[in-house]
Amino acid sequence: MSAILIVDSVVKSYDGKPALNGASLRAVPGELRALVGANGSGKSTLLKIGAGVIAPDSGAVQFAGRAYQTMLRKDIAGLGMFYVPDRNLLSNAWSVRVQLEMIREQFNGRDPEEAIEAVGLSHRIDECPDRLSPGERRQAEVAAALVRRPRCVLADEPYRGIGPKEAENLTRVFRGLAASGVAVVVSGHEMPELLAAADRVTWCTGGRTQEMGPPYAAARSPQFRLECLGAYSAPVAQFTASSRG
Amino acid sequence: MRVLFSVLFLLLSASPIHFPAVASAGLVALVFILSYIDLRRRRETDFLHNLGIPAVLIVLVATLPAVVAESAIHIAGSLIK
Repeated sequence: MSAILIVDSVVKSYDGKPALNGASLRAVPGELRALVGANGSGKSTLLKIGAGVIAPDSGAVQFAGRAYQTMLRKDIAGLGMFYVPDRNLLSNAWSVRVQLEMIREQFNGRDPEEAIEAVGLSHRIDECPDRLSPGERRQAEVAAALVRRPRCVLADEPYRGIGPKEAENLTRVFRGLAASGVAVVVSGHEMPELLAAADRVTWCTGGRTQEMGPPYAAARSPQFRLECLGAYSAPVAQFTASSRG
Repeated sequence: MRVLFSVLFLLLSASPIHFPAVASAGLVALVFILSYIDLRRRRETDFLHNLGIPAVLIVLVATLPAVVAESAIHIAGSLIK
């Protein structure tokens, strides 16, 4: 299937300091892609450019057949993009239920109760996000994505600060989204979770990207193993190779 | 804030409703800036982005009551000499 989001050779600098230098990214419907790399490698900047939050200095971005450098927010959101930032997405001013209802009303989306149940957070739906644990906040943010019925989800470090059980739950939901035909890109540096979840891996390093293919192929690359896997190198390689054949 | 300014004007023995137009415009501008800062502080821009709503629209809506109120005070001030 062809990519719904194509980010090609983008360059971005902040105050003259390069963040991206020819990075590319694809989001393909039905596929979960892990965007991995060390802190400061440019993952967040690349996702923000893909989501239309910031414009690149140069390079091409195309979403759902429309090329842009900057696009109106209502247009990009209307086309089915959902962006989960690397900071809290939901406001502390309203309960989770109210915010999910806002998304449902704006896009004629899924039932919020159904979405929150899918992430296992039904008992906290009437709480404001500041009363949730970091893991519960991530779950609520993913529930927001479910309510939207997006065509593409870009999630920036959704596994940060959460426990193994919550991580497993998030992976299940992301895999469910991909299975339903959504293009999912998840960034982070939690290698076991990301490699176990992903269909394909994009490695962001030094402001550039490398397509690594399926996780087991990525785990075979000596350079990738050295820079990304570290102590997890052996178990991840075994797990991904055996689970994906 | 408007109440504070009115009290300040009273203390200065000036009419609290005869406010110079430039000062009213300044108050509205201040409300606009503070609303934008508050939106950024509450980090609601990404949520609005996903709803397809520009942050500036929310700030304008938040500023609207100040515009209406200042206009009403200005009209009232011109009627009450």
